[in-house]
Amino acid sequence: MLIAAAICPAAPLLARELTGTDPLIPELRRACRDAVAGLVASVPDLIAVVGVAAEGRRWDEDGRLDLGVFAPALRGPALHEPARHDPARYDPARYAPALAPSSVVPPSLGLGGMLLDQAGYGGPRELRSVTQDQTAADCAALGTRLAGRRDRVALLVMADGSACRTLKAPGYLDARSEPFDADVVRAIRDRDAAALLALDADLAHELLATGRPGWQVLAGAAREYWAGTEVRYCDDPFGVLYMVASVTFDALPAVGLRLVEDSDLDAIFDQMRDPEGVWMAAFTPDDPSDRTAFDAHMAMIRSSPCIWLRAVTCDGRLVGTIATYVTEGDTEVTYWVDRAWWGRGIASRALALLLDKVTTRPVHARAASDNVASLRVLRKSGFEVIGTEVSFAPARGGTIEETILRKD
Amino acid sequence: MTASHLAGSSPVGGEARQGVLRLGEHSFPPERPLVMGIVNRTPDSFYRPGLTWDEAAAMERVAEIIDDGADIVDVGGVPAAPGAEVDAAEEIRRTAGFIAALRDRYPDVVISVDTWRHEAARAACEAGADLINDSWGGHDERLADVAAEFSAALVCAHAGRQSPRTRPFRVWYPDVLADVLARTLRLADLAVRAGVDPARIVIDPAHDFGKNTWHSLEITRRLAEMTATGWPVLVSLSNKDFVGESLDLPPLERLPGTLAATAISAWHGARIFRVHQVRESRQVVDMVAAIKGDRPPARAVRGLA
Repeated sequence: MLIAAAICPAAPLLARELTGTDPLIPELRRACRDAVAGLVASVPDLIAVVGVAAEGRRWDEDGRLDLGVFAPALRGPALHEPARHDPARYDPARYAPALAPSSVVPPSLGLGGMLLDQAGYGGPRELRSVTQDQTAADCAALGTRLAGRRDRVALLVMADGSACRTLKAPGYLDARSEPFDADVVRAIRDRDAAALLALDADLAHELLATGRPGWQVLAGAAREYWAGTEVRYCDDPFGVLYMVASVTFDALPAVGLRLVEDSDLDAIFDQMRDPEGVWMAAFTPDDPSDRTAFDAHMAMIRSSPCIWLRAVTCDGRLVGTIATYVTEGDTEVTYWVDRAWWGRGIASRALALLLDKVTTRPVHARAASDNVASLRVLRKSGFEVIGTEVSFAPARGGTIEETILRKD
Repeated sequence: MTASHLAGSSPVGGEARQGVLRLGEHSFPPERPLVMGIVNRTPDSFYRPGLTWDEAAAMERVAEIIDDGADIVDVGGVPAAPGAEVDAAEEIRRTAGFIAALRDRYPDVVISVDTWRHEAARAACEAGADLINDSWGGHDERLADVAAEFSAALVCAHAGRQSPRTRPFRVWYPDVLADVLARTLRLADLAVRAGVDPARIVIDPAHDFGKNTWHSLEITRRLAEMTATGWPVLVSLSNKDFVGESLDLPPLERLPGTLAATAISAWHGARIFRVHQVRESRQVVDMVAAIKGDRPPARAVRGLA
């Protein structure tokens, strides 16, 4: 889960070796140093670095910035090399865009790695580049995936606003930059993930706002957990908008399993007749509102030796139920989470706790084929689809397709 | 493909010899460095903007620089930096008539037109220009055809991947000089195929175009790799930002730095020097030629009497 994030500019001038003394840069470097220190201090299991590059892929975590692509002289003395014309070093017949060998990371990620090195971070990293034309949905999905990599993931997003803010800016002056950047800064200050995901990608591209995909990765990872933003730097000394920010997230509630008690039954009854939940589950009792039938069913499953039933709690509160039962020789798992608690990873964690306790394998599961959320939970937990079946679903008033899964 | 290969002599150990450079009716031997004086027909170029915007002032300036020893007069109508739009028609209005007047007054001087556009190049050549100086590296594919049509000379430059009048933004190169060579040699090859006389082709690394200060310093340091191809090399260093950033000086204080880069480039074998300050540059390249032994002292009596 995402525990902390930072935004830093992907400006090559962050590297001291490249710039000599310029009075405006130290303040920016200090802000980045503080933001990255905050990331490291959150004690993550993994820091994921995201930045823009010509291709979108994962890079070797040992990859480092090659300053020589910006400053050839930093590679070492070349003064006394004999001058010669060596056709082997280039091919004039096939002039092609210069691509760095794949051992060298793209500069945006290399700069992130440099900041982590400078902060003394020696833990695991994941370096992931995104492209300028990657869609918001793609970026958001990447953010969600990165957030789920480990229990404690910190995200370093190397991103800048428009490079067209002044007459002297690299991209010259484009009057649209100011309002565009203002919207971005507001969204980040106000923790508005939706606004970031709605940014106009084409406009961002025209304004040389190379941070657009990176902000959207953050937005996808943060979702509704975005707790706070501290903006440490927000200025354009060279006509490019540099923003340095530290982002915090809500702590995730603790999920647990315990025996169902008599005092739970009223709440469980209400949960399991919630119309939306019933619709999603599809294969429910004929009448979930029949209390007598519910009581009899609960009494049966609580006393059956082949059924392992638990109440699911979140910060001590009852939020659902989970159980395994045996049918036709197969052990099957089933769970129910109160709709008010959807979208917080509770089902995944309850399932993980159950699979830890119930060691029978294989274990099966079923879900309506259109119950995307439940299928995702099951697949993430290691269940594989083994087939489908068409059966009568009381909640749908007809037959629908059901997906069958198995975990070995 | 190298110039001397085309001219008939074979490269020696991977190196090619510099050959004769033909500009207009002139044939310049390799030992003769050429100074190209800049006359910008613009109100807003970066160095002393507006100096030669007025046509009479521009004519006066031409007289000055020829007197100071310029071999070539380079006439441009569009600044390199981003700014107010100058379309092809306006560019032609600023340059073609002036070039015609120049040609009329100075039948022998080499005239170059600083443009990336084929329309402006055509109008300039019709008016009497001998050389098309394209700093933006072949952005307009028809430029070489115009050069071929008018038997004009052509500069083949490397501008990274910049479109005309844009600034470099986080540009990086695994090997900047390899990129420069690949691009300029490709353009030279295309020019030959288009029918441009190989003895009228010049290559130019175009300092600062699509390159940061470090990149421009590197190509200056390794310029011998360009001259070793056998193609004549033009360098345009004058008062540029890579000089300014190396010394932390504004445009009007960059002459000594420019002359240092000029001397190094001359030592490495560059043949055309595009400059604002003609008199000083003339002295520098002539001194370097004397040091090289390409040119005898103008007057030596001391110790010989």
